[in-house]
Parts: sequence; structure tokens; C-alpha cells
Amino acid sequence: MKLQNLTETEIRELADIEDANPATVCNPHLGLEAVSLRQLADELSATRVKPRKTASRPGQKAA
Amino acid sequence: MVSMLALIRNSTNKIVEVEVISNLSQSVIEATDDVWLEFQRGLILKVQSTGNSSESFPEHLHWRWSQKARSYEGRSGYEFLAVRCEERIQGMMLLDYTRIGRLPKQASLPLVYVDYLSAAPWNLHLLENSPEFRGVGRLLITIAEAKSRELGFQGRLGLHSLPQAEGFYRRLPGMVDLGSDSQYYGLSYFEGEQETEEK
Repeated sequence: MKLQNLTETEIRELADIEDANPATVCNPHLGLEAVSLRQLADELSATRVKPRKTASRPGQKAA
Repeated sequence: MVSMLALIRNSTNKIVEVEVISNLSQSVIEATDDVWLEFQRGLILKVQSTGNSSESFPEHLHWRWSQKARSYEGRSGYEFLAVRCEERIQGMMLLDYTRIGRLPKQASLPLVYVDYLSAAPWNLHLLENSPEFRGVGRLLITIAEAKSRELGFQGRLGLHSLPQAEGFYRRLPGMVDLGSDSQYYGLSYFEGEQETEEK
């Protein structure tokens, strides 16, 4: 590999790519250790008192 | 080992230097895990307070590094490394030094296998969050490559990519996509080629 001598331009280009494609690597054998954002969100929703509705806004359906 | 390398600070678009920390201790990993998870919780609460539902959340996974560290404790051939900047861990990875290559020209030769790698959640495009530092993944892979050379593996590197990360690894210089690995949940296997003598 040739990552040791990248130019600043190349580093910035790779950062642009990484923004859209997070470089995350995982071992799916241990997938049970993972916590997804949705899981966290659901846990938080289940444990907190839901705020009072101040105004109702009808949901919009996608066309 | 502590060496100085670089990330991009998003707010100023300037290059900043970071420290590389080898052989992370269990206590540092656990403390980092707590900070990362708390940050994600805060982000989610912020989004929920705006009325958005969890349906809009990306499925990016937060790996419980503390559990991983416990499960690897005392095992040889593995190492947790991190990059630190402004007193905070900006990304971590777990390297496995017991694997061998698959590319024909380096088949059966030892390589550094990246078992886990993740940037800190504040460095990811999560929800409406803008990253604080950019290029953490590239930096960690660069460090893994350096580790490969240090061990005499000539820069050979291997990893299984999550689908969302494939685009990144395909663009890394010297990284070869060996396709879907049926022995590994169908994830794409990538291998970094060893350095060749330049004339």
C-alpha cells in the first residue's frame, strides 16, 4: 500500500470520500455487541416521558 | 509508540496533528466507549426534541469497545490503537496480527488484519451532525499499514468492509477488492498489497 506519502490534496480527496462512506470495519461474529442509533433512540423513547404535544401537524405522505 | 500524524479540522479546513496511541489499556477503552455512547445519546435526544422519529436515523452502528476489550484481554496477536487530538480519542481500531494474505502474490504471507475500526461519533455525518475532524478512517488505515511494515509484513493489510464503507476502501491506493466473502457474511474482503522495491 502507499498511504504513507499521500499529498495534502490526496488526503483531502480521501476525506471527501470518507464523509460519504464511513470507514467503519466490524466483525459480524460479534454483532450482538453493536448498538444501532435506532436501538438507542428506541431505548430512550421508552424510558423518557414524552413531551406534551403543543401543536399537531398532519403527516405528509410521499407521492 | 507515539507518532505525529494529521487530520483535517472541519471548522477551519486546516490540517492538525494527532497522537497515535498503541496498546490501549482497558480503562482508556472503557472511558472512551462511555464518552462516545453518551455523545450519540445526546445527538438522538436533540433530534427527537425536534419531533423527528427514529425512522429517520441512519443505521450506523456503535460498537461496544469495552466489551471487545474484555473479550480480547490476555490474548496475544491483537492490539487496540487510537488517535488522539485535543485530549480526546478521535478514532479507534483493533488489529489482528495472526492472519495471512489471500492475494496470489502474497498468499499465506502474514498481514495486519483490521478487525474493527471506527471514528468517534462526532467525526461522522450522523443525523444533522457535522464532523469535527475529517479523515479519521484514512489515518487509522495509514497507521495499520505502518504497523504492518514495523512487523516486517511490508505493508500487507486485510479487512472485511461493511457495505457502506466499500466505496471508501475501493478508492484507497494499493487496496484490492477481492469481492464478497461467503465465509464472512458476504462482506467484501479487501487486501492492501505489499510494497514493491522501486527502481
